[in-house]
Amino acid sequence: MYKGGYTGKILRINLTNQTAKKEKLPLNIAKDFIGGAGFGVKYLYDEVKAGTDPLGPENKLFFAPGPFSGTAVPCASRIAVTGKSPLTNAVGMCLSGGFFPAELKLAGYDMLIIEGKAEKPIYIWIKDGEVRFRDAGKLWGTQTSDCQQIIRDDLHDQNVRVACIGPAGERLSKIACIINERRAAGRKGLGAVMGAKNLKAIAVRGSGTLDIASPEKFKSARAAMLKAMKESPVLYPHFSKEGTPSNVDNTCALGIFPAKNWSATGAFTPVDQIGVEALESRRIGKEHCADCPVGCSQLRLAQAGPYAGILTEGPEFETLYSLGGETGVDNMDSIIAADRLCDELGVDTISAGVTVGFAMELFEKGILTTADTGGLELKFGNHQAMISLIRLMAFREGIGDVLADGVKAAAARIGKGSEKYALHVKGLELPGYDVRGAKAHGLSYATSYTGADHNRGYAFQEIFGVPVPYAVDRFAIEGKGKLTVWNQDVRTATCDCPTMCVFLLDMAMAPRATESTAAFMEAVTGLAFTPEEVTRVGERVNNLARAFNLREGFKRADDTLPERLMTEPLQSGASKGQLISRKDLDAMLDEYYTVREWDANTGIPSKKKLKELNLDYVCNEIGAK
Amino acid sequence: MSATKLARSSIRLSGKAVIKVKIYTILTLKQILGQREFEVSIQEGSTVKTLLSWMIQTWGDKLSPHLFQPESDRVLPHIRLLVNGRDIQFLNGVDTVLHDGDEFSILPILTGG
Repeated sequence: MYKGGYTGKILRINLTNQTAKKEKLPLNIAKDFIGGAGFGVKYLYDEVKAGTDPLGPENKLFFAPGPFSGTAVPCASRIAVTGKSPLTNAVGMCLSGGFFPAELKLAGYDMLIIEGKAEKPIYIWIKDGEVRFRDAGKLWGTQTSDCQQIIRDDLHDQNVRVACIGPAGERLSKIACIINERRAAGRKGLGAVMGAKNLKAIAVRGSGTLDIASPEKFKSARAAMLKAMKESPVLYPHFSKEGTPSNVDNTCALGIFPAKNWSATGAFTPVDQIGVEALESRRIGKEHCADCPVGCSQLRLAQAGPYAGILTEGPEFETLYSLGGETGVDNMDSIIAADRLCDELGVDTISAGVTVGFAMELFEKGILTTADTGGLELKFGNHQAMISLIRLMAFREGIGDVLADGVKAAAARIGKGSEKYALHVKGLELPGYDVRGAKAHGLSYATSYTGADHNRGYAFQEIFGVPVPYAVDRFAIEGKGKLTVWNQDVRTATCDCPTMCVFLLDMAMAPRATESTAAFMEAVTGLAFTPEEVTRVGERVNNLARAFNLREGFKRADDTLPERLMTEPLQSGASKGQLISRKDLDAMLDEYYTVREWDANTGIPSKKKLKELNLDYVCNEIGAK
Repeated sequence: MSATKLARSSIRLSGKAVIKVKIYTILTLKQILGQREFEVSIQEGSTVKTLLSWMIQTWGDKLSPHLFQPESDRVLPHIRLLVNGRDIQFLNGVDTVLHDGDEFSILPILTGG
């Protein structure tokens, strides 16, 4: 039935009954959704009913690598983790790399579905066709690197790959993540979903191989990709050596590196302290995901003071923003330490940093005092306080309990006008681009099905000047609706569903991403795709995810941005004077909805559009007309 | 920008009034220029083209390969030139006239976030 790439099998695990069942992957689902986020969104819509408690046993987690994971397609060892997000109550989907994704494929599965709730802490051990449920009582409370090592020792196999949660996930922090190796399925609180299920970890070992439908076509598609990668002026010359942190230098130059809870963007630009040069002296090695020839992830060692000797894989650009610019911290070694701490405790670095920055602004404005913080002087730039607060949040101690569920929930508990300073969309904390100076990127934050998510519709045209499909003026409003639809659909179809690394799209494959994905689909799986059909998969996933969110009660009014971004123009830097006013946002939304064929008032996709996308079955549930 | 030819002429500061423009750059270009940002005095009415030409004359062969295609006066396609944060292709290209207090940014290629 399947000629290659896919294993054709889904492993469904019920934690309540401790049963495991193998199911067939229907061919039409592979064709319509490709894999990864596509499978996750499809099964989430079909199996998790409206109103489900994200932390209840009825919520599910879908771990889906792509059809190329585990093959020799470069940069495809990634996995999409999907569930209903406890942070947003919307679709929660994020991707992680490393070796765990390829291992799950080689164990024989296109997707792992986790449902129910274990009576007590357990971990799942998958060895090819065998599934075991093992006691995790002694693992409960461990940090993520210790947890992974203890499991490998327990199983007497150092090549076992593990995805696990830390203390934050165990305590149901809604900003808890899932860690495999030193990579994170970081955002939307899916670590708390694992914690709520009493599932500490999933351990996998696979010894299988994957067929390739057409070795000749595969050779040709792979050669074309490797050639494009080699010809990229940035991928090997710079990105392979520097990784993502050079974006600190870039966004500071553009005046969009967010600072001090987005109150000092353009004014606080710590390039010398936490930019790429500062990181270079701390780099001691690098890491690759499976089958990746680039190896963008850098190992860095803190050098001085109380942090000397702490090693981390990173910090990536987003973390330099969240634990640096956002908090006003320009002490590089403390950011390295905080990055490692977040990974060990299983907390998303972006949401954690933004929550710390939020608390710091409340403290500076007198809304929080030392009486609230247990004596912590939560002033911007206080790196000791930042690290203390991250620990308190992960363990839900003191003020940390108030902040452990992110800024939206914290503002609701604190009151006193604090919501004004809570920077999120649909509950998800803002990532590291001040979108007042990058309007399409802002529209994507407002409309992404996961909330403020830089990875769902990254506007590389604005951030890096990549002229694909065309060059744009980052300050312009007109045309950004159409561009955002392109960014979201192409990224979904060429990265999130086939689980290909997004950096390839940005740096090497942008002009030919859909062509390349179509070529690999045919070569690896034998399923024929045109580039247009690839893009259509992205459109289908974005519409189905929209339908899930509508069913949960989301409306056009939720496609918005924090008040600060719409009312406070940037005061300094190369984007001085810029903001996205309510009027600007409405104009972009109107264009976006028109291009999407969504109702301008309700945001509901038209029946015609849904039928075009083979999504007829959702029409009645969401009231499509 | 990629097809734009640049005359390699110097900026003459005599005669007309002088304005001040800030030059800002990062990464490899910063290393070549020696500093991330600095101010230069140029003749009123100068354009991006004349400022780039002056920079090439000042930093010569060290800077040229990072801005221009080999054996050419064509700016490398991935170099971003911005005036006050806006890409000059949405202003008047290299003929964009600079004004007192403007910030001229030259951003080499990079990505990843």
